[in-house]
Amino acid sequence: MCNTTDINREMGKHEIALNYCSNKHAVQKGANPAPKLILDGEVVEFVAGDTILQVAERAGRGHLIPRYCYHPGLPIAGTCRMCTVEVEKMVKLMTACSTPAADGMVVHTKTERVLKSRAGVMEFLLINHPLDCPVCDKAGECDLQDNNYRYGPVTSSFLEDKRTYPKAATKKLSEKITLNMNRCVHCERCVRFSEEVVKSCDLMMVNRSWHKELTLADDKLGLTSEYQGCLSDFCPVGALTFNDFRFVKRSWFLQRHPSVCDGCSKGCNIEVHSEDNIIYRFTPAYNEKINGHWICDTGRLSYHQVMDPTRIVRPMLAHNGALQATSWELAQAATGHLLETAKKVKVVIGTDATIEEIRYLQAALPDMFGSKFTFRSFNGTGTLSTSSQDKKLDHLLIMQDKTANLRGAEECKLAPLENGQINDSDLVLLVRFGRSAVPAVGNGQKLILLGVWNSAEQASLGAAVEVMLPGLATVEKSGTYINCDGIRQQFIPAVVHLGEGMAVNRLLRFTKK
Amino acid sequence: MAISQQLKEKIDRLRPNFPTTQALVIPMLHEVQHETGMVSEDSMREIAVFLQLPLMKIREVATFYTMFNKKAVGQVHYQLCSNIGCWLNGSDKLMHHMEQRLKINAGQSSTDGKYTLSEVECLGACGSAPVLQVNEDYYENVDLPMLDELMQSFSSKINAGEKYIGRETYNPEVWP
Repeated sequence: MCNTTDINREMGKHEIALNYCSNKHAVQKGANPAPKLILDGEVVEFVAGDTILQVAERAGRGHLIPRYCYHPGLPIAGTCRMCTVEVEKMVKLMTACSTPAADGMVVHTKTERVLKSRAGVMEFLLINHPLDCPVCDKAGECDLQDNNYRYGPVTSSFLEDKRTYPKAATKKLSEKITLNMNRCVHCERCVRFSEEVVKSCDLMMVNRSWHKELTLADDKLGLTSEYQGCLSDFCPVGALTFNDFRFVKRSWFLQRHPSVCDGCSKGCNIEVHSEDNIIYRFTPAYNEKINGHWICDTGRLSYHQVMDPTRIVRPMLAHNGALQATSWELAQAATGHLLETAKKVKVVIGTDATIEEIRYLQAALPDMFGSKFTFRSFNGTGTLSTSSQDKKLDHLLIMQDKTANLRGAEECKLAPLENGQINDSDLVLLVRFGRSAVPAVGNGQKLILLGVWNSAEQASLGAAVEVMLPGLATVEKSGTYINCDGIRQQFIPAVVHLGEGMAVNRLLRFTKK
Repeated sequence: MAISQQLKEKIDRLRPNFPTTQALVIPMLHEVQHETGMVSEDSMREIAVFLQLPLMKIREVATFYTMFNKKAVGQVHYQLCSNIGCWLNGSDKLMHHMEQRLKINAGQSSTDGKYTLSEVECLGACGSAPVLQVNEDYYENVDLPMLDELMQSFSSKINAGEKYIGRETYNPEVWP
């Protein structure tokens, strides 16, 4: 019996497994035959230089080999011994993560010897693990739990007291990360990450064997990197947990949908984890060309902006000198009237709008109300206004431009706003989606706000605001961004907007009766 | 200043013999321990600055090896291996005996600063377990009578005011 959901799940697994391969070169089909090995009785092609684990992942069989210390984004360590496989003509079991694959190799991942070895490793790892899964935040997405369920022994022969680290049972390594050393299985992914990927060298293991403990390299400096959330992502147990998500939600309630981070011009791929359309966290989604396996903490925490309690999610209309919530009919009628009667309208679109939104506004407004519109883009990250001024802020991901689509705006021939000032027009339509800054507006001009605004941003514009039309944030809409390297990324809604906000093309459609 | 200028010059002379700066960490830790008797947190920081390496690279090496003393030790430093080979051959009984005799626990120093007792990781002489290291010297196949004899002799050496106790195989006056 096999239903479609199961097939989809299997396909998803296959894709994830492929993405999880750190040797990214595709198998070349050509004159030179690719090297082959036999994996569990099936002939598999690979690229010279692959390790056995990478071969298995390339063949979509990565899930057959459990691992703790191996992570495709990190250097290979070969310390956990969980990934051992049997290779014919080799006396010992070999670690799949660090043994280079050779042409004609015969590899078995499911023999009795391999399973016995895995059960042995699991038993050793669980000797000192507290098994506090009911109160552990990692439960449900924990490698130790999953692998023990698949490969572990049913019982343990260890009857003595477990080793504990009383001082590091709940230790705040920084504002973002909490360490529970009792749960640690010493895979050292975090140490290699801080050493090789972030290059901040701020985590280390002190002591040896029984007393081995993860600590800060320098207590005076603390954990300083901008990528601390990734530590919690790849920690195979609940030792490192992200404070923002800690004790907030059980992972099995979460639905996972792909989207794009709009926090800077890099456009990192993310997975939006939500339940009932309430977002609980962003995690990185693997994209070789853009962000690899990582995202920065600022991007990770930017879901707070979408879920901001002060975000305006109902249409508002000026009445007696103050904005008041109203219905879409009234707000749209007022907008239509304002656009109809104005003589000179300036439309300032933030560079956080999608290409579709910019093109729609450029085409639809003159079509409905005649050629009284001038279109300008506004970025607002310092003095930055063109993509050539954008630069990297570190060696990994973070870019200076804090909006997602500056290059897209340039593609739409949208000229940047002169001096960041809006002057000499009767009506200004300000379109932004929470990321570009609010431009300075000269006196005597009426304002229509459109998009994602919070109450403070709206209040900063004072009494000139006539209408406020709430729009959708990136994770709530579909569209296209062009990132700093010119990569075009399309995305679909990851969650359904919980307020009354509407997509730009819907909310302007009704403005002219 | 925990590290003397003399020592720094010595390390600079060693530099060409080592492929990377990181390879100099262990020689430098050894030198610091010979000079000051221990590798303190401050001296680790100074080594990191001198070798231009992250502090973690120094700390992880210094804390991995039990042979580097992170705290000040007494004149006679008993280091008894507690790993499986020695433990199977009765190192726990020897440790108990030493604790009784010195009236201190493993990991402590006596109040008069004469003795330190440490439980250390494998000393690499499992073939002749149990192994006891006293300062720089190894004593293999240790049993209770031999231990008593050893402790007696070290106590008389301290009383006689000898300079290099437990350094029969390593004498700084002979060593370059």
